[in-house]
Amino acid sequence: MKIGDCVVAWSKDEELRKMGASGGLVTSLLVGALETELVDEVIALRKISEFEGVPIRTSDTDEAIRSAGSLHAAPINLTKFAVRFFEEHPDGAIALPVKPCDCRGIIEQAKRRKIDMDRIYLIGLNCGGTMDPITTMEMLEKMYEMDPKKIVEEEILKGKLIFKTEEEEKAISIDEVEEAGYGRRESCRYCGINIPMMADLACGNWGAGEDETFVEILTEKGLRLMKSAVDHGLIETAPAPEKGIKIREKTNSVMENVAKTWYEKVFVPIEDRSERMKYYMDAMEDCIDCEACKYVCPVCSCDESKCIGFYDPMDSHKISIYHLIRLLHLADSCIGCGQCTDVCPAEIPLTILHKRVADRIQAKYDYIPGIDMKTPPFFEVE
Amino acid sequence: MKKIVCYGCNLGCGLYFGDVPYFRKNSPVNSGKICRFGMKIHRYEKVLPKVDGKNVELDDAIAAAAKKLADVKEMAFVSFGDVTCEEQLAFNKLAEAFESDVHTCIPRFIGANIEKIRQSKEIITFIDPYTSYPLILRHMLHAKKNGAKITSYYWKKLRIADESVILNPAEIDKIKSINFGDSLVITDLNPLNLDFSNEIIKSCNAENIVCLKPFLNSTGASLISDGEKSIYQIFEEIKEKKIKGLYLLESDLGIVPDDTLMAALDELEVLIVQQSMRNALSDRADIVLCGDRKFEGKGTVLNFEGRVLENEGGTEGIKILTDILKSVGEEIDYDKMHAEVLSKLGINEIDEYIVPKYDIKYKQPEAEIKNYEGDAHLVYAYNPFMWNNVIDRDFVEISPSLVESLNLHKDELLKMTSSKGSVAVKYKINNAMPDNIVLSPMKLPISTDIVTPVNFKEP
Repeated sequence: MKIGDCVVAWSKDEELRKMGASGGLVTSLLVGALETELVDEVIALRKISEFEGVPIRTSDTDEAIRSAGSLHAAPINLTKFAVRFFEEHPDGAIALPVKPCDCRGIIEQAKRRKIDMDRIYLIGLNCGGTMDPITTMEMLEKMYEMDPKKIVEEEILKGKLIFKTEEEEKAISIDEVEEAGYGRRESCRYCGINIPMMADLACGNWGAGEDETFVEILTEKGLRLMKSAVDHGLIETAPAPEKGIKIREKTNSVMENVAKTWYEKVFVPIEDRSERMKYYMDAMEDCIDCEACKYVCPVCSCDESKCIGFYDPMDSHKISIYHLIRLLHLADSCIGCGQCTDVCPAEIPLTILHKRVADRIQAKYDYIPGIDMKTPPFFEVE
Repeated sequence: MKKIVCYGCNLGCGLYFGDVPYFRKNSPVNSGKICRFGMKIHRYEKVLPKVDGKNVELDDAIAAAAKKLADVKEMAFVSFGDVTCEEQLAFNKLAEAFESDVHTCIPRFIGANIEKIRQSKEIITFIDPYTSYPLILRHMLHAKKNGAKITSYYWKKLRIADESVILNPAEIDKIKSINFGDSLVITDLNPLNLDFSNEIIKSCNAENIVCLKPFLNSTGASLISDGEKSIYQIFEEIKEKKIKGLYLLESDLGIVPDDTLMAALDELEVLIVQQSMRNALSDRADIVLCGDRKFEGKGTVLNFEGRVLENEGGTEGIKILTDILKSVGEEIDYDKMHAEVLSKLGINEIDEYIVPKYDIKYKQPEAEIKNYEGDAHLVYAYNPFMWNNVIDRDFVEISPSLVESLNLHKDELLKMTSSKGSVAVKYKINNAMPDNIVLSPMKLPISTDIVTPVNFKEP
């Protein structure tokens, strides 16, 4: 194996192959990273149900094994958990599975010296999008006529959203469920980064056979992860077949096109300046000052938050200084992950509001946050 | 991280807690969203066990409490519901052992659920969803997006309302003439406004009322405990020496607007508090028993809908009660309490995604709605910080016209005088405010009630 190789791989542990998605490779890599002492801890989601995963940080391989399995309806960004690790262990090393938006958040935090990229192993996961758990449960009852409590597995395959119980399996096209207001989170629909090429490994089932994972080895760290798992007898690999490589490319291209269509639908330009201002004021006036959007934001990194520090709740502005500072702060770093919208108690479409500003700035400076270690344009102003 | 329920109110917002809160997106009430209070639930100083002002080991405080309970007759037991059903039930057992009831100070009532708000076409609200119960806002916004007409009866105009009727303290009884029709009514039932909420509850079909409450498990506590005294009756009976000892379980009587009432506590033979937060009440108490923090008690919680929720945590609070009960020969433990709670609720297991049906008779409290004299009034804007006696916002809201008429300049303080004295506070100008109301999110020393007549003349 070498950097740039595409392989298919799977866990040698029969139990893990069953528990984990696509042959249990990712869990085996986490276990391997701990057992070979490449890392001190791993971060993963402990599966409670198909709709609930609790983020855990652990050095216990058994606990890492219990986190096996994919969760499309537990949309959590793990960036801040990685930041916490480095706050507590500046010289430590950690590994975690990352969706593209986790990975982008981590890279932006690394630029702001909150994460040491040499000590973090990013096992990238292809991502076609995640779903809100509550609306997904509602969708299951209304569209699939299935009891959410009986779901044992879900999968996104060939444009369809598939749910399985012990007794049955039902599939509906993603277009149909999204037309009905369900399906992927809004930010996932227009996200065009589906294969995490900025991670150390890019893993997924696109182009892979049953019970195996397609892996592209992207960095020296990624190679180290794979080799240590192989040497430790945890995984087996084989060269990725040419057909698999083409399927993966095609799937990615389809997803990119779907994202582009959604982007154009959601981000209809507001050309008139006063209309634009009214749109922002109207949306933000429902804010109840909880500060959850800042707290959850994977790219927010001030030690002393300027958005809070220069904001006085006694001000009577229709857009608070808090939001204005955040709009400015995120202009070159918003990755559009959707976490702020997810947690907003007033249902303010914050991700869209931030992206409307950020996309203009990022386009102007030809800068895409979170895909490489390029210095953000606003940093260069200093 | 543990799965917990926010204690900011009785909405039942689910979240995770490690050493800080985190968002639990599959929580049926709040989808992981939490308010300003929820983001800060862990920020309080934990109290230490104490007897007669001295720090002691918890076991010694428990022994002192057991002795006092045996010695002092006419004990009253109060728990607003800031504990799990299991702890409330254990507290009941303790009260029963001393031939008393536990008073929650909030009548038993369960009305409409969240789904009903979301599906409503006409909503009448008596609460400010932005500050009082912030996580109800998103459900109201959902209804509005689907075409619901929202009318508010409140102390200021509400942004969410299509029609805002400003309440006038001098004519509050006018709410008696509101025709509720088939509208969904959203109101608040708390220890301080029984007259107001009673008027609304008796005027509407119970199925059309969403009745929000201020404490973590107000609903569960009111189902489990039978005491019917109001917070004001308790103060009255202390003054009349009918109550000689008081045991408060996570219940700060200091929520009463008129803090002179608190002086009555000094007349008690014993004041025992079992709570986790250090505050003026714990400083005043003879015996302090320190339990789990409010969000850390293991057990069952019922939200305002009657939805049964699970809180992961410890059983320190129940253990304290268990130890005291041992002194009178009673044996209880968490498992026994849990089994009894499920049996009382008529369920075999907890399913947070289902709202069980209840057949509850609302017993009207003895409270008659009253108007307030005067031309200008200080009014409390209920919010989770206020119920926990924590100051979050140290300013009041007033109208631009009032600022102009008083010739107030920026950075000046608003001076108000009531029958209790004067105060000067910071103010925020809000176009939604009427000219005769000062809305306060915090307790002020000049208040005599939730509505206090004030004037703006120099004392």
